[in-house]
Amino acid sequence: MRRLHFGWYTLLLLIFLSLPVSLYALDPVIILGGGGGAAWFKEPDSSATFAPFSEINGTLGYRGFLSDDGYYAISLYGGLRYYADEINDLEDEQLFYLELGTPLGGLDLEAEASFSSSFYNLDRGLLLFPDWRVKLTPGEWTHSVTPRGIYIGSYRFEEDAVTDKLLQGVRLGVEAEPSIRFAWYADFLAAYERFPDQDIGPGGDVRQDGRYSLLLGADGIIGFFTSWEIENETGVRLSNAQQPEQDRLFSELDGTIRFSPLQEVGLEVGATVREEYYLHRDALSEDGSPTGSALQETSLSGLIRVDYTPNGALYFVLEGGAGRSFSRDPAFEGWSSRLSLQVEYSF
Amino acid sequence: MFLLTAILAFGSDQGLSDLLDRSGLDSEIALEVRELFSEASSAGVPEELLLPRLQEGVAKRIAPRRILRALEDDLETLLSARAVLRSVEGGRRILEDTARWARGANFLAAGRSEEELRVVAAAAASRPESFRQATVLYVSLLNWGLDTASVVEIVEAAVDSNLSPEEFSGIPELFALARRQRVRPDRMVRRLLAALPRADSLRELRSMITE
Repeated sequence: MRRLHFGWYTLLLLIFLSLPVSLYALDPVIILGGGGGAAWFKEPDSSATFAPFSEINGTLGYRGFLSDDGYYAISLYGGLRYYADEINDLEDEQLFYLELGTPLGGLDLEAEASFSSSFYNLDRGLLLFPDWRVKLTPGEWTHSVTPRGIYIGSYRFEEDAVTDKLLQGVRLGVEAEPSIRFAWYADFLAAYERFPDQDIGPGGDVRQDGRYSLLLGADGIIGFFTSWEIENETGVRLSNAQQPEQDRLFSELDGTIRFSPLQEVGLEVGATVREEYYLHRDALSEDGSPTGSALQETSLSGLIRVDYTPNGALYFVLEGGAGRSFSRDPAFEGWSSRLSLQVEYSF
Repeated sequence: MFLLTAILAFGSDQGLSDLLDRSGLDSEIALEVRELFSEASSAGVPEELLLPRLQEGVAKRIAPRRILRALEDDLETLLSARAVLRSVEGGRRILEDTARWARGANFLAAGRSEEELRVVAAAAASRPESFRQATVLYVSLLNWGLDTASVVEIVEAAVDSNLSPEEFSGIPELFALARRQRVRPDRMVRRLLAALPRADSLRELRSMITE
């Protein structure tokens, strides 16, 4: 699997190197960071864990223009995090990201591909997660509402878990930007998900889900230096898995607001609410017996990030986050919180 | 404020005499106001650029002497703005529209120097209709913390770009976005200067230079 891992990097590097020589490159961005903090969390069937950690990370980013009104971006990220005390272990994380935007015939093409990985993730072992997305919109559309089509795909490999997943999906919808201060979109998503590690019967079949949802989103600018975005996805997941049943309705609302009144200061606040309602599955009590009520899970999470820079290069970042899941079924309850302070330097 | 009040005045049929008659100002102050408006008219300053201040003062029952002082300040600022704009090559085209003239005066009244007005006017002279948005862009980027030379370069590049003037007000937010991605301000300026000639819209510009 490690050979595959390096193979991906090699392939993406070759794609990048084979781009036209007429590329115009902007200055690269190099960021080194380090810091520490603590995570405090409780998962189902376990007691609360307090985990102080320290981390170092680095990012290298290139961005530039293609010869024909297009652009490209490439970035590499690598990080190491050490958890002390009860965990006493080290995990790593890498990300390779490639983005391309260019006119294509009468269309505008935006393509993104990323490959995130960890040679040793504390929960998953070796983790590989290629993810790709291609968006097409009409190039010369003169109406304020523009049709769009987006193909999405990903494959998640987790060595020590049974949640490997292949996803293939299509989003069809419209987007509009009635003013520079406000934009919105509405998409219908149909996605196929295959879980190769999850056998559902003696015939060798594996779990396969269909996810059908409506996505509504908007974003905008308030004043000059405040931006916000919000997205809701509401839909249904239909699965061939019976033990346990996975069919469910779901709805998720994400919102973020970012504010930078001065060059020196930045503030970001985000929140997510997710509700899942299982169609054919009872919540179980602590002893495993059905409660007679449908399984339902509500998750809430929030994030606050404040940063300060005295010179546009050195950043001090304070970040706090918390989340909690509520359910009648104790196997679906849990909470987590995290506080960290990081110092970053942008070269 | 100049611009807003001037726009409000365009929608009003209330002339100077009518307003003074109904203002309740004592005859001495009313006479001084008439003299000031007469002086303004002789200097080529349209009544519509001063009347809103009088309307505002009367409506808010501000002390008559303060209204008069405010009118004198407005007139002085309008004349200064006109002198600066006339001194810039292409600046007369900016002055052709009284709202743009009022915007120039407002720029000075907000504490900006005549030299700054001259620089922004010179940057916007090739596209006079973008003058108001160019001053807004200039002030917002400067207030955020960018250095003057960079801001002037950005304003010039924005005026020369294919972006509509209304889209200029979306440029400051790109700096906030780049900041989140830890792009140093000087590098972001270079990115912007390289991308502005290529972009046909703010949306395209955003895609080109930020994640």
